[in-house]
Amino acid sequence: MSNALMIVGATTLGALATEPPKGPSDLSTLAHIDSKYATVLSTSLNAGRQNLYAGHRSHSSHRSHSSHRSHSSGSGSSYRSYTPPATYTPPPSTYTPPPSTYTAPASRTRSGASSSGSPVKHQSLESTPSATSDGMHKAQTLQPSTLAAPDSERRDADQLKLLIMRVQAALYSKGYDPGAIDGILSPQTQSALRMFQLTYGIKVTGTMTTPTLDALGVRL
Amino acid sequence: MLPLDTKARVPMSTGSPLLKVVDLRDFSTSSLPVSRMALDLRATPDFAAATELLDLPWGALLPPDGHKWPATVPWVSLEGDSRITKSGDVIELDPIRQRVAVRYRRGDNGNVLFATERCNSYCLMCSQPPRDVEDGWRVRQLLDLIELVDPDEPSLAISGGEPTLLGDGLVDVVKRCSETLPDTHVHILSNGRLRDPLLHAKFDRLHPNLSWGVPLYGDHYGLHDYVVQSEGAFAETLRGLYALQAARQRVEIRVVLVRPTFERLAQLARFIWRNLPFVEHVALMGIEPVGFAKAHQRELWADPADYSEILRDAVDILDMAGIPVSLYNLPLCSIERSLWGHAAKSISTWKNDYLPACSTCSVKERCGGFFSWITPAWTSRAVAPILDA
Repeated sequence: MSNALMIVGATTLGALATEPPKGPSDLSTLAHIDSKYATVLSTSLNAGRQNLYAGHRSHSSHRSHSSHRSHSSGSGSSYRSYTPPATYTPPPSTYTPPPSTYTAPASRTRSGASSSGSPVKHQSLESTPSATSDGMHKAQTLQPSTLAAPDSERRDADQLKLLIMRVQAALYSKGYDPGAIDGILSPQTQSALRMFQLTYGIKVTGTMTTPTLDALGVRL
Repeated sequence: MLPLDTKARVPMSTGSPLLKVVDLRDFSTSSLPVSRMALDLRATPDFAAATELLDLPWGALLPPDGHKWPATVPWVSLEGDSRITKSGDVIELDPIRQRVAVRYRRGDNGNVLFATERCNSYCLMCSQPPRDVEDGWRVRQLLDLIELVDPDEPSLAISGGEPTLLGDGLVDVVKRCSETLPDTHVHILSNGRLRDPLLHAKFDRLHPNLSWGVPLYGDHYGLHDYVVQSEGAFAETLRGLYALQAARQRVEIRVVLVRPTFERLAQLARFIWRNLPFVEHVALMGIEPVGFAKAHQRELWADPADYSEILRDAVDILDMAGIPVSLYNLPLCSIERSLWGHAAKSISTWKNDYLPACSTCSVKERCGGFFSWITPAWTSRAVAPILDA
């Protein structure tokens, strides 16, 4: 799934980007040749970790980005202009389940057990080892209930947002300009990513591919 | 000298009081949860820090000077010298007293895990006078702190008080160090007194790079027990030293050069050679003029200039025994040039200063200088700039 996303992401980007490297320019060819001689850690930072975010390219595709912690939807607002939310809007109490095409990720359907039938508490959908070690938890996580979905979706969205912020912070501290550190993969951030990838001889995608995260020092 | 704590604006909080200070770079590479971090934005321009960033569930935020944020943001502002903390440090927030203390300073040579205020000795020159308080809570705090220390930290000391009074708590602390900081050398400063015969054995193979610094103040029980103001201490310390050796621990002997000890330093060196040949290092240390030492200046002060022959003899004996020996807290101008090779820059940066006389000295860079609380009564008459080195 992530592979498909990445390809779509890369092609769309090529079309939409503000300053795309048009074809393999001399510079990127050079960078590609150079990369063979670059220092490589014996084990890369994110070796063996699954990068679900590699294909993520913009905020517009995810409704979940309006997470409960970001009451300001606009990007780029700075702390000078910080204003506390006048009224706090709690997360919606009634949740509309995601579109009927929702399919649970493959890793969760693997064991195929049925729901234990116990009252479903807010249970993480993430198949972390600790959660799946317990039989009952396993059964619960298998059944994406209407209650569990928004929580986990929000958690995933927060995770993604945090990862983008860390990537933006890394770009910023390495002298690139990703714009405001706001957790949104804005055109400016994508542009900074491409500049970074070009310099480091990484495949230029404008997205958070694993080699890019490794080079930035960002752990998944 | 950079102080270790300061007055500050500290919000009331229910989170952990220990926080890792991170700038944007360290934030991007850290795998700690943001609730254990204090984001340092003091050097970050306005445009970069979006509301979304500030809204993460930070342990704390350090705003640029003069900025004030709403009470919903857990911001901390430090009074005084802004260099008191920087990215990589670990700070402790004290909302009751409105203070911030630095518990770990990245790049400092003297980071200490403070184990306890209690001690079973009562040394005449104690720089950290003990208090008889129940502070077993420190164990849990140290376990927290260890997780926030840089994994590439070269060296940490565990000190107090007497760390072995934590009993198994000390074993837990060292174990956590070996799990989280396997590359960090850990040095336990202990009086070595054996109380629980089983404790020292628990350190066998517990940590890949652990050593002990144990003080010995005389070649005779009367002298040692007098200096530590505790009857039976000499015998207990020797038993402890042999227990450490039995547990395959690396041991350093530390000798503070108080006058009665200085007078018998050559005999002490010979005692170590004959009875403790397994020690890997001997440190001969100038007095730190603080704590109890100030009350006993007359009894304790020994100008190294008056004891240069004894000092050279002691160093020679240990050299002959093949035991490495270092001189701590002794300015180069107060000792013979033949001993300069043994002198170390030993004073932690937060309490290290130089005297006005040092400004023209040609070996100032090599010299350890003085404790910040030096007074004329504790200054060797030999102190003078060295111009011809």
